Amino acid sequence: MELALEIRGLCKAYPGFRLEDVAFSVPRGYIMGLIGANGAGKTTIIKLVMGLIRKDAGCVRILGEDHDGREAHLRERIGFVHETPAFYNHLTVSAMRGIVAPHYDRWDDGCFLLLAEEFELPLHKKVGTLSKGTRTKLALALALSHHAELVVMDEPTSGLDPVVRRRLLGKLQELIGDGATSVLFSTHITSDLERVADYVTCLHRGKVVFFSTRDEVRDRWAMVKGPPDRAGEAVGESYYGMRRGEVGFQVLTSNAVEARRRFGDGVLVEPATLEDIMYYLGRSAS
Amino acid sequence: MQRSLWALLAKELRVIRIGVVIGLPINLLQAITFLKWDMLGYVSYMASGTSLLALAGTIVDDRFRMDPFFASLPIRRELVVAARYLWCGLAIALMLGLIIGESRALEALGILRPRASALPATLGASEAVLFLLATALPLSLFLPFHYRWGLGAGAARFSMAAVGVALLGAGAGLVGRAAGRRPAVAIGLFLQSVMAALGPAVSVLLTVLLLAALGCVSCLLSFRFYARRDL
Repeated sequence: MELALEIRGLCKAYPGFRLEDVAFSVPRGYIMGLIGANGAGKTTIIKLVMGLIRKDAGCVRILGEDHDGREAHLRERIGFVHETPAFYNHLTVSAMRGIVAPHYDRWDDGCFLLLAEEFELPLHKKVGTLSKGTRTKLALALALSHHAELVVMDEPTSGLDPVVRRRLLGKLQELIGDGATSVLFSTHITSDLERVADYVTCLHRGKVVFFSTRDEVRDRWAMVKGPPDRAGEAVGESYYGMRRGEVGFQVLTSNAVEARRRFGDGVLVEPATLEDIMYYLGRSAS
Repeated sequence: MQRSLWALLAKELRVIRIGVVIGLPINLLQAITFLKWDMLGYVSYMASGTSLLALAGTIVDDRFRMDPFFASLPIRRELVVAARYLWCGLAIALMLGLIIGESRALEALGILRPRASALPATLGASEAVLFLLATALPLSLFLPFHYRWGLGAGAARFSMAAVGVALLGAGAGLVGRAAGRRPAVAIGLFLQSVMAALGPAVSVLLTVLLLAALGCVSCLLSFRFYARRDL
């Protein structure tokens, strides 16, 4: 399978934070979601992919090419949406387009105008007067107007209202429809990923907890819920973040098949949501 | 690459154009007050205005945190730095041209002449050298600090370094005076004699060449610092 993005052994250390041995890949034509709590390392990975920060070790390959020393060249083929898009607030939407466009060989003004119309961007309004949602839509229009083959977005849906969020997610699905464009996006809003992601990479404190297809996640990870007297049976490496109460217990497992076999009929084993996974992994670590 | 360089220069002008349209005429009018009294004051005033013009884009970029934005475009960071240096050079050249024109025009009108000093009414070679030194030298020294640490932290470190150098100079002056010598005066006299020996044209040319060399070294340092900075 042709890969749009391949990351191996990626490391980056900051005071108080360490990204360790991160590895995952995004096949062409698919959407990969990066999830994790705040501080898990999502933004660090995206910055490393974009070449905004320098890696300590590891390898990043984008669209089949090694990233080292070719970041600028590869960015021609990447569309990037920053978590809080930076613009000159005193310039108009149209003027911002004029600042970005000359740097791309494949810039398509017609495409930008179509997207501007679709996103209802006011071309002659100053960027500083736009709402957060409209700023994100502007960032997206700028990122998609040079026919990017890989779209990288850092928390694009945070702070957006549900209507705008749904439209944005719809746009992402539309993008990969050509089979050549791929999307990597980070979020801590897990319901967004449930809706659109084909692959999920879950991060916790700078490490990859799992990287798999959305269906594999649904099959492998489960919530085990049962009476308090059976809580002691949930022992082993595949159980995370046990919660005990007077009426019962809840625990996350990364091996649903084994849990069903172990507990039998007296205990409920149901698919875990991504939110469950994030919550119980965090609980387990603390 | 060339297209991106021009685009970055055009961006510089675009983001500060309100400042240029309003600030530049005010600067030139205000400078007449200085020109009326003292050519040295006029040159110093215009040099500060020029430094502000040269760094206006840097200040605006910092205000809107645009570094990651440009670093995510398909351009090398070296090009971003080169465009900024080129803009500074253009700003200095433009302002030098403007002040030469302004002083000449005012002299031709015969309405304004410096009274409080013995300096000439029009901008001569030594004033041009002074102007270039007062603009290009601090900018060349400051920009590597900016590209290494960012505008705020870079300016703080640059100021501390400047104060440190000034204190060292003052200390050296005190030691020299105690020994019955005045190093600052001696250096000034030496430079004056060199300029007199070389003639005004060669002096200006030599200063321009020295400043250009310093600018190149500064630019190379900035390339190195900015390429390694996490944004």
